[in-house]
Amino acid sequence: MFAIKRSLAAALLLLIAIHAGANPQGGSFRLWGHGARDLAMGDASTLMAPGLESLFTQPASLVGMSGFGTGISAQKPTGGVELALSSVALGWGSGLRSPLKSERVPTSDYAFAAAFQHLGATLADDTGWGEWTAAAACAWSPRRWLSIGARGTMSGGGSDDDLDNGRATSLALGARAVVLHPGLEIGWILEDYYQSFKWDNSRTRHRGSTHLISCGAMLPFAVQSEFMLKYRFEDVESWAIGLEWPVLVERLTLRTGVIRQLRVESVWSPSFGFGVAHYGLRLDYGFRFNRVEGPGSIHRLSLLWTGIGL
Amino acid sequence: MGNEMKRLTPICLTILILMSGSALAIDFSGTTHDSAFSPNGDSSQDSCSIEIDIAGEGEDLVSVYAGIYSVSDQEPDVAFLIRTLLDLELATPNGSYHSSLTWDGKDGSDALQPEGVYYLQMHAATADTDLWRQTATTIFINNAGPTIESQAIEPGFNFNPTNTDPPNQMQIFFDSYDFDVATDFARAEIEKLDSTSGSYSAFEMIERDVAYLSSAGGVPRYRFVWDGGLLSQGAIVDGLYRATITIGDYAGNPDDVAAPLGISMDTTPPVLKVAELGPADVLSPPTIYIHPDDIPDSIIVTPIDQSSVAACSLGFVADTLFSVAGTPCAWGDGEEPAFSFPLPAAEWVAYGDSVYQLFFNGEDVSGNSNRQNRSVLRAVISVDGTPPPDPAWLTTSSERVQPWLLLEGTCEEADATVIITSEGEELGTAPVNVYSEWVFMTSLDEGSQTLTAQAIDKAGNLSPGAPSITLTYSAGPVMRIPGRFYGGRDEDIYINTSETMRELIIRVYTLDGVLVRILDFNPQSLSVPEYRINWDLTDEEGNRLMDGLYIMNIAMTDNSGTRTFERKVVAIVRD
Repeated sequence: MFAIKRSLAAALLLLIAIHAGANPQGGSFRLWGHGARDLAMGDASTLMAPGLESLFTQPASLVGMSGFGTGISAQKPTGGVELALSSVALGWGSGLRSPLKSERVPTSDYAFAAAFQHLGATLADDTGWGEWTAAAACAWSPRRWLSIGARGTMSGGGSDDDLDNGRATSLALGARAVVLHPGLEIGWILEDYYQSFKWDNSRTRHRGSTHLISCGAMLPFAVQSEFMLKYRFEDVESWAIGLEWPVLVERLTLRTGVIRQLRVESVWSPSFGFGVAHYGLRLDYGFRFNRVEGPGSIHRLSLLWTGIGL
Repeated sequence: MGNEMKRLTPICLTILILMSGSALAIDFSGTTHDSAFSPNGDSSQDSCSIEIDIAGEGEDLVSVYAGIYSVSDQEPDVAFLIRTLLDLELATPNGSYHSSLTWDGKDGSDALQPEGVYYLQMHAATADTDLWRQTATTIFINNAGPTIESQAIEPGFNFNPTNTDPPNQMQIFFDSYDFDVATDFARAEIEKLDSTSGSYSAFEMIERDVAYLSSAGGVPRYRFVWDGGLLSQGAIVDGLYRATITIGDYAGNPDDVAAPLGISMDTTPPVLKVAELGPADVLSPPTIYIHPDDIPDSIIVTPIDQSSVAACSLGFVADTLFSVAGTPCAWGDGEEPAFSFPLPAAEWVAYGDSVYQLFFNGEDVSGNSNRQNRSVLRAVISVDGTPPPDPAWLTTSSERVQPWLLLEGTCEEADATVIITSEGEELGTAPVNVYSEWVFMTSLDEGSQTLTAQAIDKAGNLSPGAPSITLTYSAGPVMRIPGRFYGGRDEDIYINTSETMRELIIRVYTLDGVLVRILDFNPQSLSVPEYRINWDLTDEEGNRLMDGLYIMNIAMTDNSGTRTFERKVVAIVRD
């Protein structure tokens, strides 16, 4: 009961914080999605302690990582979009708690992770463009029902002709709380990114922020679900629902999700994917469908290897 | 007291009427007759009609008498009786008598009377009164009308009513031996020439100046005075007029109509035009630009005026350099009047490049002058031997996807003209405006072409250099979307399609798939397969977007409904 009250208080504070730091959207020079699991679940995959991949989404969920973990991913859009995203991540978690009987997701006391991501593009005038982003995150779980995390990134790069290069930094804070055992969680992420570019000897600065509010729940047949609301620049930008069903425990997982974009035009973007695992190795594939008037559908493939905890 | 006066007034009036009736017992005033006639057998007013109307004024008439006499005595001697027209004793006395009589110009012996003055004498009697008419009335026998011996106008054919010297009135004279002011009339009809139809139309009828009588070589002279229509028309209208004098009498003789006299009414000074100056013809320019090598020996000025131009003169401002009178010369087909002014070119050269003002004054034979009218022709001559600076291009060498292009540039000499050439062939010219800028719309051929710009001033000096740019045009279908948007000039999105499109929309997405902006091409521009739009780097609400990468989806729908899509990655890189 006490946990519920504190969770409600935290949720209230989060709602108040939603209205702070609103800024225009868009741009790059930041960390993008990494795991194929995230893509397949419509990015609604931040809770239920997914482990290393949450470095790219919800740093507080890093505590789901136990021991050593590393992963790589690659993403390629369809429809003629000359854009390629690839990343590598490395993490370590310690202080694993044995899950209680009623607890569905085991967590560690703390976890650390780092990642490197590269974004390459061919622009409309056939010139090249390249960006890199280095990220580091940590998470701490003082109680079984609560974990918090932080992530910092540094990005750089620009045009291949080196005429237009810039750097940017960002900081993301996340909180995750288990509201009702055994299977209901809520999460909040505030990502604040700051751009400072030096374009052709002139300097520009921008700041943007994003709030993500998530609610995850365990459904019958071990189906994991999550509802996520993204708030950016004074308005709700999108909401998404993700589902994950372990068809064969520790072997095969099916995933699906949908995103509802609300800016300018209301658009549905369904997605699906699967994951196959063998011992500590897991291969995931995700596909997100975008309408023909959209930015192009996306394929993403990721490989994750988790080692023994220390 | 007032009421008593009202009662007395009708009684007093009755007494006055009775007294008057006794004094004027017979009234002859109702009788009328022709004042003149011509018994010459031409069937025109050969007899004199007389309407007798005599009233007894309250008493009955017992006898009436009417006769033609050669004297006007109140009680004429019968020795002067020409013809008795009426002599009647009334069988039944009556208060009045009416009768229509005719005198054929003959006496009692049926002999035709000569031309002259005759008198109608009347007599009537009542029981108490025997009375001759108090005043005899005259009847003229006139067998021939007056004739015009000669006519004249002053000041002459050219008439300027606005002139005070000579007087501003036109005098039209006619000389006649037999014009009788008592029995004859004279009038002058003014007609105006309609230059469109070439015919005259009535303008004004003027009467003889009755106070004027003179003599011209022993012949009595009479006149009309015309003010140019100012009084009757309210305004003076320049043009060609003619005056036709008509004189005649009232005896039925034919009028004498003189030949029309032409009048040119001109109140306007000449319109001067510089017709020839040096190597090229120049028509009334505000400023004439001349290269020092082309300073002419003379200037030809052609005056345009209703009247002939008597003189033309030229002077520099304040007569600084010289003043000279023009001499008539041949010009054009020889029918156009022209004046030639010699120019001392050597003096000009001594002053070097400068601006000179010349003032031309013309004066026509009607006395109208430009100087008086403050309408002298001012010609500004700029002697310029300095070439203009090279023009500069604002349009840069580039690859184009649309043929129509607005070339832009600058040139430090305003009023110069920039000549645009492509591969040696002149495309056209662009004037340099007061801001030292010039623009030129052109259409590119497919492929590369080098355009040059050379300035030429109005004196014909060419700039020493001709900077060039190279433009390459590729015909559609093709897209030209900037890879990087800086938020400045020349960042338009060009799309050439193979045919006209029903719809062309660009959607701009962030990398995480959020739609931030729709660029909808103006439907009006979809009538041609060449489209252009500018993105101001804001989202749909006008907020500046953050720097970095975006994805553009270009959706094109042709007239058959077929949709095609292109996706491009672009970067916002703000300066």
